[in-house]
Amino acid sequence: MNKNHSLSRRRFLLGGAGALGAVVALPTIVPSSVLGANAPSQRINLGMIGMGLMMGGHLNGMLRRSDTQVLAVCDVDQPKLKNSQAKVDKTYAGKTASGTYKGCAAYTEYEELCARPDIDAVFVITPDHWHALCSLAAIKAGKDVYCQKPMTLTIREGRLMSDACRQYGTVFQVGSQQRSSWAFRKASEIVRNGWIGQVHTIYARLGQFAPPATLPEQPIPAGFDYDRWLGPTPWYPYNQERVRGNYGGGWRRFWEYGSRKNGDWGAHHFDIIQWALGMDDSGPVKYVPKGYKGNEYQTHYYANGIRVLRDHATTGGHMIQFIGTEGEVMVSRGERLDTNPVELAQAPLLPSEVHLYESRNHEANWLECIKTREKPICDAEIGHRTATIGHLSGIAERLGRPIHWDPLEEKILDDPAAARWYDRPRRAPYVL
Amino acid sequence: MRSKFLNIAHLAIAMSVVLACTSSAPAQDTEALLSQLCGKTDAAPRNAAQLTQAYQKALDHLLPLMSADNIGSRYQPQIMLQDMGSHASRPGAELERKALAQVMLNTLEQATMPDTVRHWFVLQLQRMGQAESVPALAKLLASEDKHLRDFARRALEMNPDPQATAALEQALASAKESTWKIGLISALGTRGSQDSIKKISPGLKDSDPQVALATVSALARISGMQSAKTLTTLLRVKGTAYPLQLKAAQALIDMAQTQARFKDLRSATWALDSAYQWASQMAKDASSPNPFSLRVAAINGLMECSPGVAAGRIGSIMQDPDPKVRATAVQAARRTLTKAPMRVLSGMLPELDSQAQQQVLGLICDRGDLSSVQSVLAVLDTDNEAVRLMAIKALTALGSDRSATALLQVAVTGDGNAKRAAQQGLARMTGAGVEELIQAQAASGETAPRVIAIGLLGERRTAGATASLLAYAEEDTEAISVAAFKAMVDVVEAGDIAAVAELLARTKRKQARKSAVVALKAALARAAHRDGAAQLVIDQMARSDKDAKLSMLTVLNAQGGKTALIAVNQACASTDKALQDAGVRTLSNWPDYEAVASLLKISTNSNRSVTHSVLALRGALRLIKTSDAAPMDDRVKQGLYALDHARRVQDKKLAVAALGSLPDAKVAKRLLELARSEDMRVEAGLAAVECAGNMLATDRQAAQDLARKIKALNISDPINRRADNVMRGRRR
Repeated sequence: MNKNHSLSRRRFLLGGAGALGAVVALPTIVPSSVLGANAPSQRINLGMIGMGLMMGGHLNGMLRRSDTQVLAVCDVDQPKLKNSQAKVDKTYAGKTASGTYKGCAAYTEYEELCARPDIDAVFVITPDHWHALCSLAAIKAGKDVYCQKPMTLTIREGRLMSDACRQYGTVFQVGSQQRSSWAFRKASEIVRNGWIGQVHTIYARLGQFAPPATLPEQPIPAGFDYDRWLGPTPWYPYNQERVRGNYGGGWRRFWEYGSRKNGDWGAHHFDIIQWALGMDDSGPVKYVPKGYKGNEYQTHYYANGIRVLRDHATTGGHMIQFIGTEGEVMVSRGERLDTNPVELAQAPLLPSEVHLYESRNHEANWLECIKTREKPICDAEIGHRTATIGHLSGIAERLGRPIHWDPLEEKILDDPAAARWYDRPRRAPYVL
Repeated sequence: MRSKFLNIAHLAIAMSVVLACTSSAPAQDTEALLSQLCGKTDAAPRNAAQLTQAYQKALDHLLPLMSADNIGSRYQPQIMLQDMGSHASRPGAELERKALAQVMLNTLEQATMPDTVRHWFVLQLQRMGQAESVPALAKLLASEDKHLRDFARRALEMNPDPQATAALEQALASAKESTWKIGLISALGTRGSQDSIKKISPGLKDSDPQVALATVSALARISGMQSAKTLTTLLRVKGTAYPLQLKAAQALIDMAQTQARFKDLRSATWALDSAYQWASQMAKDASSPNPFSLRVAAINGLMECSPGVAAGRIGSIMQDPDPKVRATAVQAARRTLTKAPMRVLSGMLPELDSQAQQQVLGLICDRGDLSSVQSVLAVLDTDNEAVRLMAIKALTALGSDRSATALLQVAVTGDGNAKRAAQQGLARMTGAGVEELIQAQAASGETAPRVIAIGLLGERRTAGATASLLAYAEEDTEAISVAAFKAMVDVVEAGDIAAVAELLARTKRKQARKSAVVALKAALARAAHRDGAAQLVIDQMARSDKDAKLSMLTVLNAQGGKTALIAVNQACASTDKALQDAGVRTLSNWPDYEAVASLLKISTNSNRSVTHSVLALRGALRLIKTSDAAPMDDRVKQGLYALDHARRVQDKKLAVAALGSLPDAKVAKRLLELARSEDMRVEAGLAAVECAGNMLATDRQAAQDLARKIKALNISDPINRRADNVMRGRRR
């Protein structure tokens, strides 16, 4: 049996009572809280999966709050795991009366963390290829989930996750946090309400990663479960560059673990474009890769003719530029918003106009929704539709030809070879 | 001899040229060939034999490069192979795809290459292989390289040819190692052949629990009645390990989703009900884990697929100890096509706990009908305010005279939030008999309910209400009169000006008169011809006593206009102190820019009281700041005049602040000068950056110059920050 299997035969045969007993015996700080509208004041017990670079901000944020308690951390890298555990312990030990704090649990396998009934919600902040497996396990165990963007590695994963959230009533937030920024919301409201007329062209600046690479094999560091890090993706010899967490490259530059910039930054900018156009339950219908028949920019088209050009220069170096028949909106992080005409940026919405979902803090919005059982600002269906744009853009790029997509049926049309990319087969034993 | 030598020399040179050409030609040809095969350049059509030859040549060239000692250099040739595969597998190019696949398969079988390159070849076949690839991939399932085995297994998983299923089933029959079995079972699950169920089912009894769990997932993916029966059997057989039963129940939920998508609602309901029954049974057994999430999923599924069955379960669901499960039933009832679950929940309302009551009342708000009124009334007088408020909201949504009667009662006798909520609810309630009930209540009866009902006539904009309200306003009871005038605000029109003014003149009681002024102002504001409307009021003023005249004077700024302005200016110049005071106060709230000159005249007149001077100055500065339709030159001129002639330092500061809103070079220059002075440094600095921000839209260069100059004065950090923003092109 593979050493990475999550449940031992003994635990399996012990069945529910044994597993439950084992869980109850784990150290907990506060009583288990079963949340929902019925217990809005109770603390939310959290499990944190994937203790890498991106988790830093989330963990710090959760440790600062009084309405959350981190009960467990999980990673395949023992040194990272130990450091995170120590950080949690140090924070809580300092806040809790001497002798009452029982400690944060550490797991190398997310299945064990998800099996704990005292954990209400989990953060899934792993590389993209683990998002679906970890999230689905958490959803089916009745946890609410905050999953980093892009939500998925494949389109099928997104459909499964969104359906599962609907079935299991999960409060699921995708980490496309630009939705919780004033400037991006305002820009989207300006577009949605037709203040710049009919939008026809949109520029989105995603930037570039270095190309992927073939890398020489290196020894696997002690305490690092490389096989589990690879998980469902194809096997390649270990090299530290392949597994490195780095916003400018590392694993993000490899196709095996995502859709490169289309996934990484598309999950932000394409997401805002979907929001502004009111396409959260749909998406573009055609994807044309850069270089195809002289096409200067990677482009995707919505059914109404609106086109989105990747990495076209924008006015003022903005991240996104919407161009309409009567004006323009340019928006970036740091609450940068410029409009033409200039007064649109500050003009208030009329009561009768479309007011988009307002969130000022992405994590806080999720936590609030866990209490109220309302939908968060970027739920699974939204995250899935946005991730789909990144995936299809990447598929078109790799195939070197346009792709036609039916957003209603969620099918790649008239191209059986391209249709195979709807999902990726998973390496055993990391199957869905 | 010499000639013979020359001939030989010429021949040698010619041969060397030919040799040189032939030796360099393959390199060029290969490059061009690769470019064609990757679809980067056009190529003449090739037949099958030519394609095989071309791909063979390309692979002969690429394979050594893909296997180079310098591992980093292997990337480009790998990608070329991938690009060739992508191009060959495009729609309408079957001949190319098949030729390339065949050449790759031959190369895989015959050539020596590093393991990672072999993996890359198989990965390409996963993306483009069809029937021709199955035999070779099937052979690789027995490879000693476990990674290659799994690459081949995945390639077969994606292969559209039915023989791939047979190859995977055959491999499973002899598989020993758990991970390998899991991969094969999962691949067969993905391929979804009903015939595979028999082949993978032994996995349920595998000694490794992970294999059993993978088998359950595969059965769910294959779906169909046979899979469903196999899975429900697992739920029923005693002694089956809990994790396996849990997985089976989850699989039934997944399967139901698929069945529902294909409109097989009967099978979906059966699968969901099986899962729900099992999970409920587990929940009852205190020694077992409580799979509440499964009950949640089953309820959601049942509500979607079979609302009738779900409605029958609601009674027991609402007794569930888990609040998340109870909340799910209510949320799911909101999404169902029929109202059956809502009606059942509505009937249970009085027996539920307060939080469940709130949830069900919320559901009734969204989906309720008249059958719910009785249940809602039963919780209307509960002690829990949140429930009471939600019940009021529900009654509002339901409408009907019974709901209205109940809400009127709360509006009269209730207190605080409930009273307000009931009034607000009645103001927008629709439904049979509601309007009639309110009108009858307004017309007669005790004062308190009449006051409420009269107010509602206005809020509901009841047709023909003005006539009734004018009659009520004349009544002796002041509370009724006040309520009627207040309600008029929402319904009076320009045509009512004369009547309301006349009534105001006759109204002597203080509160009623105050309310009458507001009503008259509302009528004036709705007049299309403001001078004509103002004249009606002025005419009534001439016929009225002094108190009424003063009251009516104050309404003339509702619309402004020339006629009204003359009358108010006359009042301002009056020797009667009360009339003068009313005039100045009315003028200081004037809506038109035309009043600026009069206001500045009053504000700079040293004979006027300080109060009148300040009121007039503020009124003038407000108009200078906000009257965008007025000529900018004049606004600047008046603004600078106000600054230069202000009577006190604090008045000058007000003028400086107002000037900041005028994007004008003269203003900018003046503000910069003041910012350099000691006594107005901060106020002028702030106004100057405001001015610079406003100038961005009209003269970007001048705006940024002004911001730079202000920043150079280093007045304060906030001013510097705002100047920085302007220099970056941001208004604030």
